[in-house]
Amino acid sequence: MVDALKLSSKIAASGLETQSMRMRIVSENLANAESTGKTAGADPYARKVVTFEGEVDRDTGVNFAKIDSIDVDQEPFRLEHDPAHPAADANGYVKMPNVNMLTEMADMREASRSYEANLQTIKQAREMITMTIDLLRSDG
Amino acid sequence: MDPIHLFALGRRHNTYLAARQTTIAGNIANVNTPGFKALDLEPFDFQMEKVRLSMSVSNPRHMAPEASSISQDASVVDSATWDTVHSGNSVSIEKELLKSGETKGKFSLNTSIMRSFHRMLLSAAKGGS
Repeated sequence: MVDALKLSSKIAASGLETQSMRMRIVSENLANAESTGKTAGADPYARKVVTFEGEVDRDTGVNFAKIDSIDVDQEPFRLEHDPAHPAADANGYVKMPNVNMLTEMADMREASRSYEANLQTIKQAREMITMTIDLLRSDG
Repeated sequence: MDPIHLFALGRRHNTYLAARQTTIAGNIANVNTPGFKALDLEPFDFQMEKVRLSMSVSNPRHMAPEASSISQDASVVDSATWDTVHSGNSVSIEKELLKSGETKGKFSLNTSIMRSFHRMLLSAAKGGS
C-alpha cells in the first residue's frame, strides 16, 4: 500500500502540472494576440482552450488531475479594416485573433491561485511526514 | 496493569488523518475539473460509534451472530459544499485549505501526545534520573 501522505503529494503534483500547462497556454495566447495570417484572407492565430478531467487511479481509487484536451476556441475572428496589410481580403479587412486580454488575465489569475493551493498541500503533507519522523528523535 | 491503547488509537487516528489529507489533495488538484464533486471522509468519531459489543452464542438454540459487520474503513462521502460553479464543480479552495489546516493540527496533536507518553514510558523504564 502506498503511504497516504506521499500519495497526497503526488496528487498535488498532478495538480501543479495541469495548472502550469494552463499557464503555458495562457502565455501562448497572449503572445499571439496580434498574430495574423500571411496571405490574403488567411486565418490568424486561433485562441487555445484547455479542458481538465479527473483521472481515477486504479490502485488507490484517488482522483488525479489531468489535461483532457487542448482545443481551439470557436469564437469568430475579429475584423479590422487595414487595406495595406498583406493578409487583407478583397474588401480591405484583416482577420485578427479571437484573443481577449481580459479573459486571459482572469485565466492566469485563476491558474496561479490553484497552483498556490496545490503547493500548500504539498507543504502540509511534508510537514506531517516530518512530524511523524520526529517521533524517533530522542531529545523531545 | 491494563494495556495502554493510546498508541494504537493514536496510530489509527493518524492513519485516518493521512487518508483525509489525501482526499483533500484530490479535491484541490481537481479544482478546475468540470463536474467534479468535492469529497470528504466520514468523521473519525463515526468509526468509534460503530464499534459495538458483539453477541456470543451461549445456548445451542441461539442463532450465530453474523461475522463482524463493522467496516474498518472510513468511507468516502460527498462533502457539503460552499458553492458550485457553472461547470458543476463543487470544490471551494478556501474550504479545502481550512480542512487541510485542521487535519494538520490534529495530526500534530496526536504525534505530540504519543511523544509525551513515550517519554513517560522511557522515564519509567529508566527509573528516572
